[in-house]
Amino acid sequence: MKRIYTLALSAIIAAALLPMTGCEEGQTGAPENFVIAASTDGAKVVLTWEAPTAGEPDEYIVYFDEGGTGTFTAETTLAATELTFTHDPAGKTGKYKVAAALGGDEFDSGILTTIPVNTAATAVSELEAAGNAGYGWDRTTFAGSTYSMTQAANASKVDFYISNWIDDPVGGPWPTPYRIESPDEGPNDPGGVVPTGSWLQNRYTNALTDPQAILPVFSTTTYFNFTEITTDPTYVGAYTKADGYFALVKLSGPNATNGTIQVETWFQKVKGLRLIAH
Amino acid sequence: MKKLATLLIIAIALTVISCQQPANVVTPEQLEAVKTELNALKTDVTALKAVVDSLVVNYNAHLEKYHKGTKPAGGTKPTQPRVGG
Repeated sequence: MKRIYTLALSAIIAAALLPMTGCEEGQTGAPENFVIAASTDGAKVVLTWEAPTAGEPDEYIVYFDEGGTGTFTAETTLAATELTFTHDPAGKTGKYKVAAALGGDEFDSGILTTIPVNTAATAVSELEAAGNAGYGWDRTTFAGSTYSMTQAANASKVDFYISNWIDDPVGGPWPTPYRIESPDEGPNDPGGVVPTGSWLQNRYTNALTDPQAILPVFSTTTYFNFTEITTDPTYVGAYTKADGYFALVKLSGPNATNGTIQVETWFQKVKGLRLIAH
Repeated sequence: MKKLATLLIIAIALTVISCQQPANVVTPEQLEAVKTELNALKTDVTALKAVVDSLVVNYNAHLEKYHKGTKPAGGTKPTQPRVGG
């Protein structure tokens, strides 16, 4: 009887250990240190990875999930010696993963995305109106937030601010059209409320006709220190000069009585990548 | 004797003339009335000045609050150079 109990206990322990062993094989068989980056022209996605610690696979398969719908499609199959692939998504964004194929099995890397980080519409004030006139993206979460332009301590956090470039009457109104302005223009703004400080110097495109299209290449003829908002809504591309990120800004519903405008943004967290489809 | 009589007549005449009250002389009562009227006017002016001063203060406050730095109607924005890149 005692032998039966011993055998049963051994079987239970073995059954518990087997799946764990399988999981361990899966982890070590997957590509490691998978990263994505922008190509030099900012239009393509460069994927790089390292071989699995378990050893060289038969081949690698690069998958792309356009728009992040959950359906991955194989983009290419590469020899085991290939550890990089440049994908041209034709202006689209999505999710990527690389699988190491070995003996009929596939071991997936983690999933990385080029889908821009959306921050829902929020009211941003004209420089002299009540409320925050500054807006900036957190470089860890890539979410947007509003900031006061009257505090020099916010200089490193603000990526643009809203102004009509007029010294408005106290109490308003704050006439339109408004402008999306580079923060370093603040101390020269006729509003006269921005203290001197290390405000960032960023640049913005003219109004875009297609908010899903790839943003223009950064140059002196495509990005400017400010852009006037003359239509509702207006889509503007933004480029953060200090660290080289691209973003899309939607400006809508300017209100001269309240001195506000609605701002929604999409921030491309892959540095230098101009893809903004969302 | 004749000369003395002439001088006396002249002296009497001058005395009579000088003692006559001028037709346009203000009486003390009239003077007092004018003084009273002047004092009333002074009071009115003081009150008026206080009202004007108050209006000026209010006007300046209004300018400061509602018209600080506003551009003339139809005025243009200050120029801001548009810099590329």
